[in-house]
Amino acid sequence: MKMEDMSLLGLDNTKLEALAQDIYSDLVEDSCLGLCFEVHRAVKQGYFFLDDTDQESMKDFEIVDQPGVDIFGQVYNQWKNKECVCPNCNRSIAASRFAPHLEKCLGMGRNSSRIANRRIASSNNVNNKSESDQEDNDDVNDNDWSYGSEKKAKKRKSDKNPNSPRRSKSLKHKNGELSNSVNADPYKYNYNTGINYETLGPDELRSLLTTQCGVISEHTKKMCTRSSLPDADTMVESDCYDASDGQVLMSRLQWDGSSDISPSDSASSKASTNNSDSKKPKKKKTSLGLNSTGGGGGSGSGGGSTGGGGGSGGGSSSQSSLVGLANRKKKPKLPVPPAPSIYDNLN
Amino acid sequence: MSKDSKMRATINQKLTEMGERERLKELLRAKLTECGWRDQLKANCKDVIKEKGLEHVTVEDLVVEITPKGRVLVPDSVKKELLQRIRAFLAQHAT
Repeated sequence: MKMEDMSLLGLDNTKLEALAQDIYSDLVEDSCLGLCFEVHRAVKQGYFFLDDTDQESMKDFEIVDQPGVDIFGQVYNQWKNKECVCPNCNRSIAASRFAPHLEKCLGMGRNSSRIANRRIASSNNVNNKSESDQEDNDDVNDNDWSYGSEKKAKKRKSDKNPNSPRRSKSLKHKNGELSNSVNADPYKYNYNTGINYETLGPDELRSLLTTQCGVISEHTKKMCTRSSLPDADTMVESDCYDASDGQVLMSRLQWDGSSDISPSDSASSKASTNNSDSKKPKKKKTSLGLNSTGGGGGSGSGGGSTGGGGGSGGGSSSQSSLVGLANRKKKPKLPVPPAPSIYDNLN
Repeated sequence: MSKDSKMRATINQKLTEMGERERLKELLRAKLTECGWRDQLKANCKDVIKEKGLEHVTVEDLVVEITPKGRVLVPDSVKKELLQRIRAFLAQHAT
């Protein structure tokens, strides 16, 4: 039983509790004494008050709680209303904008487009030696704190690329010029922006399209100057062309590309089928020069005729139209439709 | 009662020998520092020193002034936790 246990133990709960309390208070008193000794030693050694600030300094750095002023007592927009007069342009500038304004005004900062101004100035004036010297110094300032900048500055002008697009821009604004159309690069784009198949006569068109691709890009409105390379597939088919097809193609070239594509187209295609049925296929290589270059020329013409409608789509489909036309010859039973198919896509 | 006092002495001895006393002391010190009791009492010490004069203050002065305040200022949570640990020890080791 509990009582027996307790008696055996010689202690009861109350006594245990009292004991616990005593132990606890002993511990607390130990802590207090420890603190007192510490403080007393600090006082006697002279470091007790060391971490405190004296009263005078305390007053200096007291927290300020006034309106319009921060806790340090500083005013926020103290310099807002003040204006300075620029020595260069004699304008009164707001204080906060004064430094950037000076940068631009004197042309001495990093973003002051000093070099651009210098170029303008030098192109206007006759080139004096003294002027160029001063400009070189400016260039030295331009590179932030580097001693090797002088060499770099002098090299700059010679670094202009003679082949850069900007330089050659003025040369290439020729509309329909054929002299520069024959290019070694097969994929180089002509800078002609205004080429219009409607304005060119049939002969010009013929000579143009026999040498180049002629597809007008939808995006850049430029004519592709790719020289037509002999393509094995198209070459075989091109042999099947005869004069009648050439005429048909020429008529297409002159055709305006109006919205009524299908009726006129079907008419022309019917005409071509009639022609093809009546005449036998001749394996000529001359006829209108649409032979070895027929692959390119024919597709070019197809592209040209669809130039009014949609050039980029026409480019690829014209090739297929060419093949379609050729197929028509080889297999007369094949129905006409491949030609109209281009225009179906456009529609 | 002498039996009690004997018991007490034995327990105290055990407490010390087993190192529990030291552990409890450290625990209490840490807790009191954490809860700001120490800084509070230090401020009181400053007042006493200013009162008595920096040169002439004695340990006794401080003890007399500070200890009763110290006892009172111990937070209840700290007190409870410590008592709990002591009781546990007694329950375990009181024969």
